[in-house]
Amino acid sequence: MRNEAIGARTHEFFQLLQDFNATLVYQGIFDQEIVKTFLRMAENRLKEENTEDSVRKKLFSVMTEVLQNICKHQKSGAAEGNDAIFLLGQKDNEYAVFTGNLIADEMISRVKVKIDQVNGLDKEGLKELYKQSRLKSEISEVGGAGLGFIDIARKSGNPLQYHFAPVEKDISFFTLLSTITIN
Amino acid sequence: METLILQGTEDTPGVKLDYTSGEFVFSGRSLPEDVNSFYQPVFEWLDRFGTKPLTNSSFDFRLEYFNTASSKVLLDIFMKLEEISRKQNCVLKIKWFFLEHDEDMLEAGEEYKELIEVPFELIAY
Repeated sequence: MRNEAIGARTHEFFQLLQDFNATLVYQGIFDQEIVKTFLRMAENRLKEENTEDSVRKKLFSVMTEVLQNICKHQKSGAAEGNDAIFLLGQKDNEYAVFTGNLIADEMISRVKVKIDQVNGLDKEGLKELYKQSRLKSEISEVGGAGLGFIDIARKSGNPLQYHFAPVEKDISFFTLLSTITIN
Repeated sequence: METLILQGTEDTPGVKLDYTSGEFVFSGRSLPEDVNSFYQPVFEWLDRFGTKPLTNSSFDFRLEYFNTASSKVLLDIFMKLEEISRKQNCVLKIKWFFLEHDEDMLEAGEEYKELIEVPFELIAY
């Protein structure tokens, strides 16, 4: 890699981190130990900053679901064995929880439908959807109950933002941004 | 009936299922990597309990946090207790504890209470 190329891309990357006012950034393979480490770091930081308990718990919930989602997806399919990215930031009275991972194009519409559905519901609607979905759900092969997006929407209190960027044949890069209002 | 005791960890709840003392408590945080393998011994214990249940038992849940997969398993546990109560015609109670200002935990308890037919008490602490 030539320095010029690195320089330009690093500056863009740096600006991205600035936009988020990122405090935690990780790229790689996610496992339960990584999840525990980030939860611990975030919790300690928020306790030090005297963040309200309810906000701290919401951040903990959103981070858990988002990070465990990545763990599960890295166990199979397009993301298996492939690095994913996680970023935690705090800016403009919001915590931002951002993740990115590879996804098979055939999965995209399923994910879009789920997220669009939760984004279109109010508090009561989300509660109903959660209750109905939980009754019908089974624990999947990779240990999920299919309730993650609903829970993230409920706890964060804000619409989930997402994007799918084509990467190569039949594979895209899925990014998800959840924000939690601080006060 | 043997006792099942699991120490709580950063990501798994404390579990105490003690037939002799009549204490049945779940506490702490539940976000295990694999909910099914973590809770399997609990379901096995419940099946044995179901053959000779202690009537008037109270199952106490003092959870600080649980992930969505655990939320599903908790529902399964409550339904199992309901089934035991019905089949063996005995009284089993569930006590759901929540920190006073924890609205999410209260709401979670209310949602379970709506579904479960054994006495389900919501207790602030």
